[in-house]
Order: sequence, then structure tokens, then C-alpha cells
Amino acid sequence: MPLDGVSQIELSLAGPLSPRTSRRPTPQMPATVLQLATEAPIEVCRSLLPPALHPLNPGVLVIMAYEVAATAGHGSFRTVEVGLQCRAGARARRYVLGAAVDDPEVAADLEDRWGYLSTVADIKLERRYERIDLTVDAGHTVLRASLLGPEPVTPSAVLYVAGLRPLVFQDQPWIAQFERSFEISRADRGRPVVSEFDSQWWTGGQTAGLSATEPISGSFTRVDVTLNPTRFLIAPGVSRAADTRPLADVVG
Amino acid sequence: MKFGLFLELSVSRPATPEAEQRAFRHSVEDAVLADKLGFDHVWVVEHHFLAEYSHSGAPEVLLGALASATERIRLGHGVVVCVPEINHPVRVAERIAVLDIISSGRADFGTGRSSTWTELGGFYGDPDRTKQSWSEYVETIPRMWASPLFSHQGVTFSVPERQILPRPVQQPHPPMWVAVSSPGTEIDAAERGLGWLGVNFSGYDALAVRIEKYREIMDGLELDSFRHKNNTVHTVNFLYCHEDADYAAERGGKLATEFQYLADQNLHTREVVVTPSYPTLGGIPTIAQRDAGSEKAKGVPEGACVGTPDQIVETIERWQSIGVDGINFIINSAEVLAADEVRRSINLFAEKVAPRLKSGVVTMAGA
Repeated sequence: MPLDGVSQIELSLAGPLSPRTSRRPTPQMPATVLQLATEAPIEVCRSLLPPALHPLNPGVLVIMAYEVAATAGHGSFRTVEVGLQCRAGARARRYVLGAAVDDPEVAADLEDRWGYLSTVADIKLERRYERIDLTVDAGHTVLRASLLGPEPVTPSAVLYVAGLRPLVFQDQPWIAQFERSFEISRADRGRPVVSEFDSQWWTGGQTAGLSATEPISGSFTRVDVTLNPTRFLIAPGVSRAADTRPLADVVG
Repeated sequence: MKFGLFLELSVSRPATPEAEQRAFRHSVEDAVLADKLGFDHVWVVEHHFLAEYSHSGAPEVLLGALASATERIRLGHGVVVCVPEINHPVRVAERIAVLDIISSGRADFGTGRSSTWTELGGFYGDPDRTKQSWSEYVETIPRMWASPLFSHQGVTFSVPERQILPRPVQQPHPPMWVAVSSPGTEIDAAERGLGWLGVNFSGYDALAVRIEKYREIMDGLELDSFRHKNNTVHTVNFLYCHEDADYAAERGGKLATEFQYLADQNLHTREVVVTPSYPTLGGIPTIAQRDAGSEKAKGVPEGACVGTPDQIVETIERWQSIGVDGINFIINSAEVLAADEVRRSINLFAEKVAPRLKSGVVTMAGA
């Protein structure tokens, strides 16, 4: 039998799901996106995934940082997500363990309209000729990572898989699909390096054991990103994501 | 129409030594039965680190055993991962030649470059160079067998002047194939005179277009005298044959679902490595599921050889009509079906399906 996850979702780490949850996509937002993928210990990944999901062989840690340009609706802001690549049934997904946002108003809006839980932190995404550096400081440095040797690559070589995150509705945990659409106008690739990673911080205190082991690949893209409405919810305790329902069937 | 088996050597968790030994023993028994029943090929895959999905890390050893245990069936080493960090090309040439010698000219040589990061990353292989190394292998290995003295200064490997020994029995060399999954690989195959060894599932219409292109290039191809042109298309399929259609659909669906679920544990290179060498295809393809029919048929891919003998004949005739020359069957996955049940399915296929689709099949139903 393939390895299912074994984690029980802690409600305190799950975002709110409510009838206010947005049913409309956001306008397209111009942004730059840094994605870093490294291997991670498979047993730790398994311990962080709910039974509906199963880890990949080997485990994969994915760090995604967005720098969203100012528009008429909001100022510029940055977000960073840490997640695990996994499978929901046969589908490739990324289960988000923790997120940081550098703008308190944006963080509150994401939580209210998207159920997206995050912590406000200082985020720096700095592009240099030979590297792109990412730092997240939440009173102490919780992440320091880089993309080394960026070189142009065809945008079609970059793949973003849909995110999943825990939500709670009427005291019941769910896993929501967090879909974003990307129109990539420019892409660079390079080698990921994670030099500091606070596992306890990013996993909400669940484990100190999550780490970036072997580097896999990274990209830095210029995109127009759209945050799409949540459409599906997965019952976290049912193996192979076999209990997946439309949002309306749960929330009404 | 040719028929073969694909032996994946999948082993369910926990993979105890006894469970692994049982999987290997059953694979040998299945190959011996297929030999007696008139199947044309048995292919043994090469995979590394793919827990549950395939424990076939040293196919050349198993093929040696099969050469000894069988009499007429062709033995496919398929596919050899043509990446220097995993298999040095000289060692590949030597292994294929020895297999051809000890099997009295029954070796088939499958080539590929690995699709998973699980394997490539495990050997610190460079995904950007696998297409190049594969191309260099398939161009040079026939020359290793043909030249009294071989030397090569290449891009992905080099060899000083040496005699590559032994030489294969088949002349100019054993039939060569390439694993075809992503669209475009069939073009690479045709341009090099290689047989098309299908390793994933595809709809009829999409495959027909690709086969037409493959034939067009193959027909116009001229190769050096030491190269053999293998203008052949073999696809992969599931096999579950039973007189009761609903029962076959239920059991065949179980087989297909289990296979897909085990495959989904593997980390595909195109999912995580940003490289044009492994196009993203916009997502990870999965087996197309039948969207009609009974509840029991769910999980059975379109075009699968699952059903009654009549149904399977009809399915294979459709594959044949678009230009497929042969089908290699996955007959079990992590022993989700009992060994006896698998053999009943193979026997029924040999008795009531194969004779209607090919001439010269040696049927020994009930063997």
C-alpha cells in the first residue's frame, strides 16, 4: 500500500471557511514568483500530510515567494509559502504548511475572503545578477534561501501545481484547493539553496524535522497571476482524496 | 500481431525479502507460461528506488534466468536507462551481447532515459543531458558491436580505443527500441530506425496520428549497413481476460487502479525540474478513464484489454487498425491479483483471443 499521510489537522492551524469565502477570481496581478524545490525526508513529509494525501518518493519541499506589484486595489506586497509536493488521488498537488505576508491588511483580507492563514513577517526578495535571495524575518530569520545562477528558460518549462491548505468549517477540518492561474511572460531557472529554515515556525510547531536536503530545481518568473475561487474541498481523513466535494455542497 | 508481457516486479509494502522473492518467482513462472503459450516477447523493466512500483533494479540478471528457463520467447531488456551515471554504455553493449548469446539470439534491446527524478536524482544524473546521452548511446552501441576496435570522443561519454566484447549473435545486432511516452519521442525513434516501445496509455485517435508520422519518417530512412531498422510499433496495455464481462471489468479495473496508484508515488522529473528536456505537458498525465459503462468498469482505461475474449478481440482489432504491430501486457500489479487468477487470464487469452488475431500462435490452453 502506498504511504498515506498520517497527520490530523489541528484546527488552530486551519483557516476559516465561511459563506464569505470568495466565489469570484481576483483581477490579474502582475508579480514575480520565486519557486524553489528540494528533497525532504519522506517520513517527515508523511507525518505532516493528512490521510487524504500521500507523499512522493522522495519527499519534496517547495518554497514559493510572490512579489505582487501595486495596483489600484492595493499596494505592493510579498508572500511566502512553504509546502510539500504530494498527490491527492492521482493528481499532483502542493500542501501548504505555513505562509508569511509582509502587509497586515493583505494578510487580513486573504484570511477573510480566502480563508488563507498567514503570519505577518518581514520579507525580502532581492534580485542580483548571479542570484536571487529570499529572506523571511519574523523576529528572527525563519527562512533564508536563494536561486543561484539564474538563466533564461522557456516559460513552458515551469510548472506550478495547485496548492492545498487546511480550512475549518463548523469545527470540521477540510482541505481546500487553492488555485492560481499564471501567465508567464519570462522565466529563469537555477539551483536552489536553503541556508536557514525554521521547521517549527513553518509547520506551526508540528515538527523540527522538516528540512531541505538535496536541491532539485528552482525558477524565477515574471507573471500575471489570478487567485481563483475555492471550488473543491477534500475530507482530510479519507484515503486517496476519495471524498472530494464542491464547496457549495459543504458551505451552501 | 505480436503479444508480450511487461514484467514490472512491483511489490506491495511492506516489501519483505519473502514478498520480493515471491514476486520474482511469479514473474519467472509467468514468463515460462507465456513462452509455452506462444507469446512473442517478455520485457523486464529497469527501475531504481521506485518502492512498490518496481523492484527491478537488475533486469539483466533476471533476463539471464529467463534465457535459461524459456525456449523460444524473445527477451526484452526494457528499457536500459541510457544515462552514464546509471549505466555505462560499454557495460550496456556487453550485457545485451551476453544476453543474446546465452538466449541463442533472442535478445531485444530497449532504450530510454528515465522519466522520474526519483531515479535520476538518486544517481545525481543531469536531466538536461539525458536526451543527449540517450541519442549518443543508440548511435554508438551498434558501432561498438560492428567495429573490431572502438573508440569514441563524445559529449556525454568517451572511450579510448578498445575491443568491446563479446558480440551479439543476431546480425547486425539485436532489434533496438526506445520507450515512447511523451509526444515527439516517436520522431526521435523513427529518425534513428528504432522500434516504438510504448510505455504509457494513449487514446486511439492521438496515437493514430503519431504512428502515421513515425511510419512516414521510417519509410524514408536509410541506415548504415551495421544498423538494423526496426519499423515496429508496440504499445503497452493491461490484460485481464474472463468469460464474465462484469467480473473482468471489476478485476481489470482493480489491476489498472492499483498500477496507477503505485505509479503516482513516483516523482516525475517534469513535475519538479525546470528543464526543456522534460516538457511539463501542462500537467501530469494519468490514465484516461472510461466514462461510460457500469460502475464495475470504472478504473479501466479506454482501450484496455480487459473483458471477455470477444471484447478483447474487438479492442485489439481497433489498435491494429491504427497501425499497432504488437501489444505488451501488464498482467498484475503488486500481486493485487492472485497468481492463479493471472494465469487463468493468460491461458484464456492464448486459447480464445490470440489465435483470432495472429497466425502461427502456439496455443497450449490449460498449461
